[in-house]
Amino acid sequence: MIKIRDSISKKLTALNMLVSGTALLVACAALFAYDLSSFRQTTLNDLSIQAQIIGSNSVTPLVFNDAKSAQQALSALQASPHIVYAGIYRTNGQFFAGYWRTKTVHETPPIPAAQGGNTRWFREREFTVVQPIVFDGKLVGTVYIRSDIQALVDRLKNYALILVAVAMLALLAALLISRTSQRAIAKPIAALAETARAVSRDKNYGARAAPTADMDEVSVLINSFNEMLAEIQKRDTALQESEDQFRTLADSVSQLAWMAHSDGYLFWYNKRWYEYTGTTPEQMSGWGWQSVHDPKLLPIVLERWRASITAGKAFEMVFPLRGKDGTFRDFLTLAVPVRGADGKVLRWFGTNTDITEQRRSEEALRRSEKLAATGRLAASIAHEINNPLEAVTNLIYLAQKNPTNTGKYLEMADQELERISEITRHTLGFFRDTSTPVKINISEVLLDVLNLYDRKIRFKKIAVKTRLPQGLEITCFPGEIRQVFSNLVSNAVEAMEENGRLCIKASRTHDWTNGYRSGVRVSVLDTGCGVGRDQMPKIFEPFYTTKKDVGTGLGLWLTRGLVQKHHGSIRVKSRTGSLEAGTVFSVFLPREPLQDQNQSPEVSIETGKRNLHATSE
Amino acid sequence: LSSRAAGGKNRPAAAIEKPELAELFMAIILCIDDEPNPLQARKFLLESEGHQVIEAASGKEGLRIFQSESIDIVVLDYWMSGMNGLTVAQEIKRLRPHTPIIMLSGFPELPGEAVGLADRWILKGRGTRDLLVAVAELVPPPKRDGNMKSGA
Repeated sequence: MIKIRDSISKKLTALNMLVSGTALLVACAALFAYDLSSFRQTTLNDLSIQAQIIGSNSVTPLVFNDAKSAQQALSALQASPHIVYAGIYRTNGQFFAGYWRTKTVHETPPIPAAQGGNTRWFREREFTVVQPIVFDGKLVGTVYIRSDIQALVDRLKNYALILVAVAMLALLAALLISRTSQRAIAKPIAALAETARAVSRDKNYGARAAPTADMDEVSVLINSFNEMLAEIQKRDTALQESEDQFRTLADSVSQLAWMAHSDGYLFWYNKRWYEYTGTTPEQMSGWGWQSVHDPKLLPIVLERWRASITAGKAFEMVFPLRGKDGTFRDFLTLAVPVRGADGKVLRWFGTNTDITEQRRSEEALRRSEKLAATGRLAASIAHEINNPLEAVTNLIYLAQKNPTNTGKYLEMADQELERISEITRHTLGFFRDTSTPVKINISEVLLDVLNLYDRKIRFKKIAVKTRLPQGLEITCFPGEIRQVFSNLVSNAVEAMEENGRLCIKASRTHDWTNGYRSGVRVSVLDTGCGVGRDQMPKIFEPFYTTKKDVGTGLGLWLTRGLVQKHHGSIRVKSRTGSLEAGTVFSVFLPREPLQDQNQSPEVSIETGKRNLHATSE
Repeated sequence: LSSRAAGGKNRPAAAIEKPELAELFMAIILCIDDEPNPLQARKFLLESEGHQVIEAASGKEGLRIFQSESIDIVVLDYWMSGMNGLTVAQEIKRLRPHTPIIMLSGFPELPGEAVGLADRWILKGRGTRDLLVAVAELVPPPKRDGNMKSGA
């Protein structure tokens, strides 16, 4: 705080005193100078008169050469204490008679020469008068008188004393008047300053400076200051309200919310955070949140949070947080940087959304969809079998009715029965699932799936091209993997009109996202109608279908779920339009997915999501 | 119309046993199915009953034929790739609402909106007799200016 060293009041007083003092000083100096000059003149005049009187009185002694009488006449000068020396000289300059104030020294100084024609002068702290003695028109001698300045000094001393006394009185008066009059100006300013000091010290923007009655600049200043305070108070209130609203909102949302400085230091959490975790602000401040994390996952969380802070990019991750009852629940955590006008990150705003229930219901839906898919599969198997069965029944009826011409009918019936047997052989693979993952040859699975759709492929005159090398083994749940590719091939076939092309390729490869995981990649390409740009983001959503009459819209959703369960990833690229339209699905499956257990399933599923690039061309 | 419905109940057995009677009720039947072998077997069956059968390997082809030919009965597979049986049935009913449709399905359950469209539903598998009965019931009555035996 600034300490007021020289108050305006003091300054005003000092100024007043300075002005008064200067005026007084100038006046005194003028008076003094005038008095000095006039006193000097008067002294010289007096001396001249005295010289004339001495001269007159000395005529007779001079004429009669009576030095004793002259001496007596001169001794009258004792009455004038300032006269140092007086002498009477003859016309030839010879000393005639003299008077000395000091009785011991009796010099007889010669008559000084006239100073510039003057017969009297003031020089070397002495008054000197040289007066000729004239009798009857004839010069008979000269009087020479010298006086010291003691009279002048005395007078000046007195004078100075008086002047000082008067000046002191005058200044005192000026001080009193100044004190009284400056109060009208200085007091409101001092009051304003005190208010300002109080405001800045106590942060009390409700304080107001006392207004003055005068409508001068100070009054304008005070009013402006008060208006400014009112404005600040208004903004303060608005800010407080906004802050209160934010807190209320942040505390009432079902999510956990928090804020962090640009360096990642968390400085605020909402009430829900404390309620859920059962912690205190002291425990949580800064990097204290680590205590509610799963220690196994914490390094990954920290690494990614630090990466987000460094890059200034939004943070998104699913991880478990420990509640006050000690159990972990899954939270989707999003944090976005709040930037200033210069683009620099000011702080981070984050939320943790409990997705445990969502996860559970998704899992339940996935399970029920698996059941439904099984049901649908059973129904389509029934359909697939009923078709040739009907043909066989019809042909047997015909053979019975016309026993002479049975060869053709029985041959056809045999073909149809062969189909039935093939269908059962292949479809049973779907149900023959194991409880533990087994090693399978992916090419064999793909050929099985192709066989299943063989009839439809031939009927639609679809050209099938495959590149399925041997030895591509992965460890998986074969039924689920079969279902994955069955869904993809079925979609491809459904998407195409007659004379389309279906291309299925498998190859040994590494994961797109982290190159160290080896596995196989299978791509299923069709020259069908393609997936529109607007449909692309939705194709993996449950219940999204373009085939309302036959599909449930769960196929690709289930497919993705199964791929993710195997720690793999799925991508799709598609092109619509008349030329070169088509879709290609690429599935990566790691060679040993289920030994990769050091990663928690939460992270893996999340990773799987990130790998999904549904791009449309 | 009522006489046809009443007579229809007894006719199939008679038709099978007495071929000469069947000719009276000969119909032009359009068979639509995307499965070649069952389609052919169905054709043989219906032809053996004396009907004239026109094959169509897809819904699209079936509708084209239906528009250009005089068809008495349509025998339609419900589950077809491309244009499915439901769409074909809707189109047929739009073109000629009185043409009877026999819908064949391999599924035990039928979609609700399709049920009302077909005059008969037959579950594939062991449905030979069901199909013959349905066709016999739905054959239009002999025309007055046609065979004299129709009055008997």
